[in-house]
Order: sequence, then structure tokens, then C-alpha cells
Amino acid sequence: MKHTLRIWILTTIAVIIVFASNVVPADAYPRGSFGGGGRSFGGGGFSGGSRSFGGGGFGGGGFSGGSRSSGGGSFGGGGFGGSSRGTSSNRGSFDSPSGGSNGPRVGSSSFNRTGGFGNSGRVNSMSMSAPGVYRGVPYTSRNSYYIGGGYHPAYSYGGWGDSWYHPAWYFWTPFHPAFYYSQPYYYNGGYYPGDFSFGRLILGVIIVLFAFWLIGKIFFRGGGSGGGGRGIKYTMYR
Amino acid sequence: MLGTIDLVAKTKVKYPLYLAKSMNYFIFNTEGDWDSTTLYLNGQEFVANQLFIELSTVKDEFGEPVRGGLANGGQMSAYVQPQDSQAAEFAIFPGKIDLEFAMHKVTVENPSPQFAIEFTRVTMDNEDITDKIIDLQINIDAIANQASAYISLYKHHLLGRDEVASFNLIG
Repeated sequence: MKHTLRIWILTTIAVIIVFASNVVPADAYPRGSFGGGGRSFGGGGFSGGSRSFGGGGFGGGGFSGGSRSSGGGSFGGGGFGGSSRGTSSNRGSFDSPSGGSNGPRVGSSSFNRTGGFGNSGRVNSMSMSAPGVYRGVPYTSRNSYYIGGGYHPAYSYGGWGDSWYHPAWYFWTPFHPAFYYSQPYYYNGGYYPGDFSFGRLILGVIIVLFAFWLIGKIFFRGGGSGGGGRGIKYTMYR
Repeated sequence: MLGTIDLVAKTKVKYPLYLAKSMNYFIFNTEGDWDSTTLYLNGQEFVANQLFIELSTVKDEFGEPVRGGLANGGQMSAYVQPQDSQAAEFAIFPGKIDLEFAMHKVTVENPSPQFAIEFTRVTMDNEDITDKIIDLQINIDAIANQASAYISLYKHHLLGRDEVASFNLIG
């Protein structure tokens, strides 16, 4: 009977202590609060840990107990361990150099900020790294340009030079305005539409003039003789 | 005359197989005078007073030659007049005639029994000029002592003016 009473007293004390650990900061526990009494909570499990972390929250109870005591002991279950884990984070998580990975922390940040992050979206900025002619000019669209076996950023500015990002065969003829613009060029990590090319303008004029001359030669063979006006040349051979 | 003998020997060997034996195969040869002028029919000398061939293709509305030669159509007269028959004309076609001049050789053939003009083929110096020919006129008239032969071809030039090239075959 006395033995039974003793067990009840010890059990009650243990329950009170365990419940008290839920409201008292972890570092308020004396080190090894469970260490002496039960293997399941302290000494064996993270006794080494207590040395490593220099005492405090993770030393005796909290986290260590939760994982180590699951196999045995009346208090070893997840219930107490888990609950103690949730409240063992008031301070000092980052006090130690490597302790931060052992549990969630609330109210303390290495960045001295609280709350959610701000805008993390991409900033659509006008880069000062654009070519001089486009510097300060907002581009109309930004796409990927496949060239040389890879994709590169391609900036469009709404001109005919943009056409060369998706070239067609008739862009190579002087009858399409894109012909008179250079092809996109690479500058500082991206492609930009080419400028107006005076060289192509001269080439286009030459081609157009040649085309007119050729058409005239084929269909209008000069004045010549005869009513047809086709200018047939008469020759005599032996 | 040795040349003429050789020519006869050759024509016996090279007789066109596609020509039926009823078709004519004339060979006219001249070096530019009467003495060297001969005419053979199927390997036999054909004594004639006149050889006449006139071929002309279609012209445009202005009378100008057009490109295409016999593909545009045309008309042709071809006959020989034997010496032994003053009135009758001996038709050359359906058949073939080789016109061998000093510098050129022209061959005209038409195997069509109806003498349809679209079956006419003309070659000159081993080149098919059926689609180039404009006019061909051969008139060897022993009675009138006249000999004339010329051919005109239409030569298309892509970049230059088209050309009507006339060849005086006896000159």
C-alpha cells in the first residue's frame, strides 16, 4: 500500500512537471530535468546534445525527448515531446551557429523582419545595358529568340526590325520593308532589332532597277520594225 | 561525180527503217552549180526538171514571224517534176528529203499519208529546227535555169531582241 502510494505521488509530480514544461520557456528548465530520472527523456537521448548546444532549450526536453522516447517510458510518447517542441522556440535559435535547423522559430529572424515577403516578381525594368539607340526606350515585348542552338532574350520595339525575329523568305526581297533593316544583333545578354540599313537601301534600289530593266527587256523589246513593235532583228547568214 | 557515187552507196545503207517502202526518200545534193547537182529517189537517180519545196509557218496579224515554228501550224508544197513527164508533178511527201548544200544540210520529213503539216519535222545540221523554222523555200528549176534555196529561223533571245535568221543555202 505504501508502495502504491509512493508510485502515485511520483506520478503526480511527474505529471505536474511535464505540464509545467508547456508553459515555461525551454531554457527555464534546469539542464537534465529529466535526465536523472528517466533515460527516455534526457541523459541518454540528447545528453550529448546538451553539451553541444550549450544548454538551454534543446538540451533536456523539447525536441530530443520527442524522438528518443518514443520507444519506451510512460512519458515518452509524442504527446509530451511534441508539445514541448512547439513552445521551445522563444529565443536563442540562432544564437548558436548551427542550431537553427532543429525546429521552427517564430518571432526571431536573422533579417530582422516579420511577416510575409514583399513582391518577389520579376522587375520589368528598362535596363541601362541596352544599346544606345534603345536606351531609355521601353520595349514592347520580350520574347525568346532561338539562335545558335539556344534561346536568348529578344526585345521588340514595334518596328520593322522586329520582323527578323521570325523571318520569312520575302523579307529578303526589296519589296518588303523588313529588307531594309538589319538583322537582330546581340548586345549585353539579349538580342535587339537591327537598325535601318542604308546599304540595303542602295542594294534594294539596284535590284528594283534591274528588275524593271529585265521586265522591259523581256516584254518590251524596244521599238524596232513591224507593226507589232517587238523589234525583231533580221539577219542573214550563209 | 565520185562524191555522188559515194552518196548513193551511203543512202542504201542508211535507209530509214520507219519509212515504208512506198514512201519516198529523196536526196538532193549540190555544190553550187548544175554539174554537181543530183537528185536521188530511194537510191536511184531521179532525173527531174524542177525541185520545189515551199514551207511557211503562221505569222502574226502584222505579217511578222512569231515564235514557235511549225507548232503554230503552216503550209507546205513539195514536189519534183520529172523530165519524162512534163505535166505531172511527183509528190515528195509522205516521205523524206535530204537537202545537202555546200555548207548546210537540211532534212524535211513527213511520214503522214495525209501529208498533215503537224507531222512535219525539219532538221538543219543535225539540229531539230521544227519549232524555229519560219520559211523554207527550195526552187531548183532547170528549165528556167534558176536555183534558189533559203531558210529562215526564229531565234528567241531572253535579254535581247528576237532574231529572224535567214540562211542562203546556195550562195
